[in-house]
Amino acid sequence: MKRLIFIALCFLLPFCFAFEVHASNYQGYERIEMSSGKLLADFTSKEYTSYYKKVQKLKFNGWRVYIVNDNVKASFISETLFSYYNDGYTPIEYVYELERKRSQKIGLSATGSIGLKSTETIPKFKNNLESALKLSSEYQYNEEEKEKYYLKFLVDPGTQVDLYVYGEGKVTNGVAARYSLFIRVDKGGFEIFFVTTEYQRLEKKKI
Amino acid sequence: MKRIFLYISLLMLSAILGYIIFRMKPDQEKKVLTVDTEYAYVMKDDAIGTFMMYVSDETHDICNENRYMRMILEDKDKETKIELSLLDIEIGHEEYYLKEAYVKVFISFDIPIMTEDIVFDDAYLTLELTDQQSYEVRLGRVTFFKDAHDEQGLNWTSLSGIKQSNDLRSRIYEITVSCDGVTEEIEKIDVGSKHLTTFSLDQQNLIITIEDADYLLYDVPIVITFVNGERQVIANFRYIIDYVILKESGPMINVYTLD
Repeated sequence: MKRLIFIALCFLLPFCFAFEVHASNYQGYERIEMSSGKLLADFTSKEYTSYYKKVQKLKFNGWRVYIVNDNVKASFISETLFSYYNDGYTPIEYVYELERKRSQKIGLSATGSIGLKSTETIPKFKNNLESALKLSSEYQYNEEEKEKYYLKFLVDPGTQVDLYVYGEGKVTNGVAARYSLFIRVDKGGFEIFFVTTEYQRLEKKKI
Repeated sequence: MKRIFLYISLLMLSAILGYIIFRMKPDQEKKVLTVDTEYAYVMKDDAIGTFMMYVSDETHDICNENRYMRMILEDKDKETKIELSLLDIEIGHEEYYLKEAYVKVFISFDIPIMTEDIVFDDAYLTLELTDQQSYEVRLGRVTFFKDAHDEQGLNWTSLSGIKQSNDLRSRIYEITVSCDGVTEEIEKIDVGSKHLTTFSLDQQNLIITIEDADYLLYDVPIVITFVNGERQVIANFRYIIDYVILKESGPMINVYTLD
């Protein structure tokens, strides 16, 4: 009997984490607003139930996908990129080398048992969900790419300089289920956030 | 037995044919793309400028700064010409244009110092490589402003810029300069664009609107000329970083074949 309960608990364990979100960088943004629809993190259990019905048909092998929001425009306010304070008595010419990584442009989220590859330097879904989603070429990238931008400006004494980023992007999300020999082995929600434009704002304030 | 030999022969023949067809497929032509852009920089000591282009093969010599002999910036009429000192070449993100992949290439150079403003209205960049190869690519418009050391008539507190709504190109439409007030009356404002700028000023914000044109514009200085003749320069600031430039720049793209 104990063995039976143990096996049942083991079987139910993945479902206990059904709505835990595994996400890369963009979830840390101060604010994300979609022009229509909802972010994956805001999906209710009722919505999940109705969307899962779209992927419950058994399949011999591979992913079954239902896209809820397809390339929906979104705006965001990101993090503060840097903050510099001149506590001296003379103005300082400050040179900043801003390095932006390509992986910061594509953010992924997954719920349920879909999961993200934690060992990758660039975010990827487990079990090659990307190929089942038939993403357009702009979502494809193979290695860590970096871009550098130089900023040079004068900072007066007693002045703090902050650089903020806000911008626009596209969100694609939905639910997916993976089958192997007609058995469903993974199920959950997925989301891809693709940054198209970043606007930078430089602020100076007297402290 | 004869039938088995026939099947094997047919299989081998089709494999050989397949291999020949694969070998006959022409190699993809190597290309470099530029997008018409308005580049504007202030001539200051140690200032760095960056031109942008896209290359289909990042192993090509054009992406290797050690293979460069010299780099010449000139106007189309060849009357204005200047040799630039190459600093660095860096590879950026990948984009797609007509189903072909290109990597963005940043060519950094020392901003030259001259006594007067200089404008290359229809700017071309000639890249001379060590193996006698030379490529001339169109940049758009390049302006170098002389720095100003006049008293500051405007004490700015923030800089930000946006694109025109629904414009997907990487082009600034409006720059907002927050300030503590302006002590002198402003006569005109220049951001290096050959197109008109208009401005409005209240106590807190100077709003500069830039006329639309078929050029990218994302990194500019602000040159303010006051009625008393003094000039204030707010250094270059990268207002926009776009990651989908080729897809949205269609007619502004120039295509060149690489050897």
